[in-house]
Amino acid sequence: MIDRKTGLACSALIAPMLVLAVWRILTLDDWTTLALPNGSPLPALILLLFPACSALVVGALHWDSRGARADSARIRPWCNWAKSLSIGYCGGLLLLQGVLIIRSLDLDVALDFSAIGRALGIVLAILALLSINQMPKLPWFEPRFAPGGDLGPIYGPRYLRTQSRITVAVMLAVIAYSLAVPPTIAWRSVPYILLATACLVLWSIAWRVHLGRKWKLERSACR
Amino acid sequence: MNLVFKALSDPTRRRILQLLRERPMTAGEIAAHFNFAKPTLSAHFAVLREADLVHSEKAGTSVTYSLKLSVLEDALLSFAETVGIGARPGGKLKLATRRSK
Repeated sequence: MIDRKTGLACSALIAPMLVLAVWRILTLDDWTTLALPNGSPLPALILLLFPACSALVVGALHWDSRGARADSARIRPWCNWAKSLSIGYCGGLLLLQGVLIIRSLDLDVALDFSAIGRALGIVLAILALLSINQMPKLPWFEPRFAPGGDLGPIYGPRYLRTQSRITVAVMLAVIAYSLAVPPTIAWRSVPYILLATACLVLWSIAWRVHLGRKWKLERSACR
Repeated sequence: MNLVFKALSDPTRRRILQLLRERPMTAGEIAAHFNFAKPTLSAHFAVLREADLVHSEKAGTSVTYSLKLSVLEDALLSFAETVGIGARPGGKLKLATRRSK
């Protein structure tokens, strides 16, 4: 769903993320631990999570558009939506990673980087939430290489609606949790959030396959 | 957002959206579920289109309507349905139909 230009813009944001992460890990005294002043230490590999997540989202959006004609009127709203989502997501994660690195450097700056990082994280989550909220408004577009195959005009939009509804519910829970817990503990929840995301992806694939089979059966019954 | 609230405040329009949740339908298929005159339903469709809650596609002589609800609008629809906002179906539109008859 993303065009070549957007892909290049996202790559330009992911590359510094990767360079910064590698540089910070190499300059650490103990390369396994990222010590934060006035905070609990984090595993240093968390820095690589930022470019990895960005690459995953951009890659997934790019993968979806494979086989579709860019000039197709049906895919154009998806392109615009994916463009704002991918650039906003990569830009936000770059800023978030920057704040984490500056915080770990323990510079003598009179700024509360912990609060800045938290605010940035919440803004990023709200941006993603707004994007997912608009997803069911987009015309149903059948990706060529999707698990479950063709979902048809009935199950396709239904799948999209349910998926966005569940994603919005999960994101709201994450935002509420981030606001409720103290910033020092918030970082510890990252593995659980990643686990929840993985479960969501697995459920999404399983449900898509189920709907694909259902549509296939109904179509063969009609013939 | 005002247009969305206006569109969701009427039970008939909410019923149309509930029907479209199942599958995309032609105007005739939707009309079969109601006892209204066609101009009344057309007015309802116009309100839904104006609020960007449905997508219409003309194929030959029939118009196929499909749902175009964001997650928030979907939640608002469920809320309005649960609370039962605008208990009298039709409202001003019903009056307009009576006049035209």
